Amino acid sequence: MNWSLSEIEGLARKAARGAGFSWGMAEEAGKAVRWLAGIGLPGPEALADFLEAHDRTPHAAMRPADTGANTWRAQGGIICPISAGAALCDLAQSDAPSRDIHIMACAHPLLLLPFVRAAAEDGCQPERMIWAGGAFAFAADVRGQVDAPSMASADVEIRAGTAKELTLPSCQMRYDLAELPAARLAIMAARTYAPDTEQSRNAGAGAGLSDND
Amino acid sequence: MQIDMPAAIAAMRQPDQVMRLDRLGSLHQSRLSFMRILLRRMKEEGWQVERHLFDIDALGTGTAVYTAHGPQHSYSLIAFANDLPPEKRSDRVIATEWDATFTLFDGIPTEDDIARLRANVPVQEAGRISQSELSLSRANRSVRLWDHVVAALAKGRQPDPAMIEDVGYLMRTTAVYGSGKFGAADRDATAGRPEFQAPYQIEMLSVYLTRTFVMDLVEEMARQAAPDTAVPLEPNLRRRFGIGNSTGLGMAPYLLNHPALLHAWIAARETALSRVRGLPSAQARHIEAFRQMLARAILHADGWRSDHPVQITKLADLRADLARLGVHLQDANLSDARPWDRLWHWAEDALTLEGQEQLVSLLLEPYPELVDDLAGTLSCDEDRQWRIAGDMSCARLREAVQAIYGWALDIDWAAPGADARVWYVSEAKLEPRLGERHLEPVAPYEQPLSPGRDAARLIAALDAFGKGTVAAFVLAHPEHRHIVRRAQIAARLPYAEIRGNTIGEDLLPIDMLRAKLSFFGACRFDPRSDRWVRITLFQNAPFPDELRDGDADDWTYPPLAAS
Repeated sequence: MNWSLSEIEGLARKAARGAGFSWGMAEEAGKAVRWLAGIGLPGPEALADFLEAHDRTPHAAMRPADTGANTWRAQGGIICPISAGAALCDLAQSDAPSRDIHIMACAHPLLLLPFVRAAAEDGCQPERMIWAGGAFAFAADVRGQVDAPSMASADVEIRAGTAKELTLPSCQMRYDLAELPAARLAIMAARTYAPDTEQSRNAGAGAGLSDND
Repeated sequence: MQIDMPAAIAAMRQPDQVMRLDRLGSLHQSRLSFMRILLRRMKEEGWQVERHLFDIDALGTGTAVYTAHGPQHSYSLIAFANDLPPEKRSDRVIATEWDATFTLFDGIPTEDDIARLRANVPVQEAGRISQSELSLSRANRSVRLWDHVVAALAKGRQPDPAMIEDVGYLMRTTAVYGSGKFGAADRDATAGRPEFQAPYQIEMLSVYLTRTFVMDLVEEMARQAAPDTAVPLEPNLRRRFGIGNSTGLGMAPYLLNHPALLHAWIAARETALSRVRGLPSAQARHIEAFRQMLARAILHADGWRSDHPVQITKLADLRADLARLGVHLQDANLSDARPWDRLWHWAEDALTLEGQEQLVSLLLEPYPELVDDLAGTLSCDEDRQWRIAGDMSCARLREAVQAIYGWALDIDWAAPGADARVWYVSEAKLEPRLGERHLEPVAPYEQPLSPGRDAARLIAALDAFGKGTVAAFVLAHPEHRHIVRRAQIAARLPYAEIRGNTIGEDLLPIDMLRAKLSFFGACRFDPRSDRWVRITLFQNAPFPDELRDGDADDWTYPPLAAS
């Protein structure tokens, strides 16, 4: 089905929340997936894979333990791309762009890409992201390619620089999301909805008057 | 008129004053309302509206297409009219059938487009629209007025003006979806077009064309009922019909979910007020225009009906305020220095919130040259405000939170009334609802719509965390990431945050609805409960074919010489 990007963002945000993210982190996941879909990369599918593989895993186990180090690792081994990406952005105005960072065992590295782009923008410095599944460079333009978008985990290298040899992906305003990944995300998203009851149906929305007037 | 802008700016009102829920719930439409921006543009640019198709049978079912041609683009309202049994008529989101359904099409639809949309638009949320559609909406009849108007016209008579005054519309929309909903084009896809630069122009255009369709439909129904005797509506009477709107809780979270945009709207209005208050003197013609508008606002307040106890009190306040203002103006010397600023200071002591905010809107009326350019500041790039400034110190963040959410830090959040409510989304049609935290099992589903409580929690967490950067804090405490983002936005954009408890037992969601709807340009707020409101849009507005020769922006208050 053909989705608008705001629908993609909303679905991703709710799915991340349903899988145990805080609202603030779920918002990051939504924006990241929207950006990926906007250059035709399978962000929604990657998020569905990631959330299912690490459903309700405590954030503390998957966040970078020490962002002051140049090599980021998570206590539980696998690092969450949303958490690492958000941390990278949060450091971008001051600290992170000045150094190369290795993110070890990053789950679904595709999901980290939008954050590296944002960090390059915030840090006013060209940044590259390189992993076994692809390579990108973020400067005045966005260049790169992904060979293995669904790669479940990889070590990622982030460093300053450009890569003129990489191709320019094309932007799009829509995304074709197949039924299966959409349904997988929708199952997670549905956990944010309260079960319907007669009481909530009548009182919760506050109507109940006749509209035949 | 030449105005030295820097000298003409008075102090802006403080967010602690403006952003209170009770004041936001007293806002009135103004020159900066989105409906008025749309009609001013359509007039200036000479937009033409044509009826492309009108294929309606005796039961009132069929299809109509109205196309609006602007300088660069054309937009078509496609209407599907339905013969709805009364038992199915509900304004709630959970309804499944309506008297009429609509989409605004980007361009001029082909027959294939219309056939595709006929399979989807009438079922609304259960259907699917595409990138060529910009909005999706539906409307129900005001049964009482509809039947009366059809019967009168069929007999060759005009309908009773008192009944028109009483209801104000023949159909009320019950949802107008835009911006990517149900497959429609995202705002990003059209935001670059000048006609959609201001907020909600797509939705306003859709509703404006809907009004034209509804008037044509009611006349057609009378004609089909009695072809020999039926007459059309007399133009002056016709203009008195607006479009109703019935809005529930779904709209309330918007103001919380778009803090940077809320700032843009409020800041534009406050800037306009400060420009007028800052005027060193008032010219006679402006004083006269203001007095005229006040007289018309009194008429408007007199015609405004509601059965809701809260609104009845507010209407009594408003009418008394306007009367008091009228008396004050008999003696007030508006020829002295800074007349509007002095009037404003008088009003702050003399009038209730209803009257004060009505006065804000009235003060803007005589000064298009000071106000209307601010329409260009009502939008913003929300993404630019969204990222967290991780290099801020926790101490600085704490100061900002204290300044913005001081009101919330004074609340005892352990008291059951303080957090009595929960905003949640129901499984059924994903309808936003408000539940009772201590009576219903809905807290696990809570939406992040309680910045005050979240800020109080944030302060406690910051105190426990100690020194460091915001980046380090949110890494350790992802549960506070949402409120940290909000606080940083509100630290940059002072009107971004509502300064009131959005989950307290005293919350009136209709305050949030009114704030937003007043920016649309809505009039005659008529709450049906604490979380549901009916309004009227485009009442007394010129129809598209009247825009060229008439005044496009002098209709929101009723005319003085009621004909």
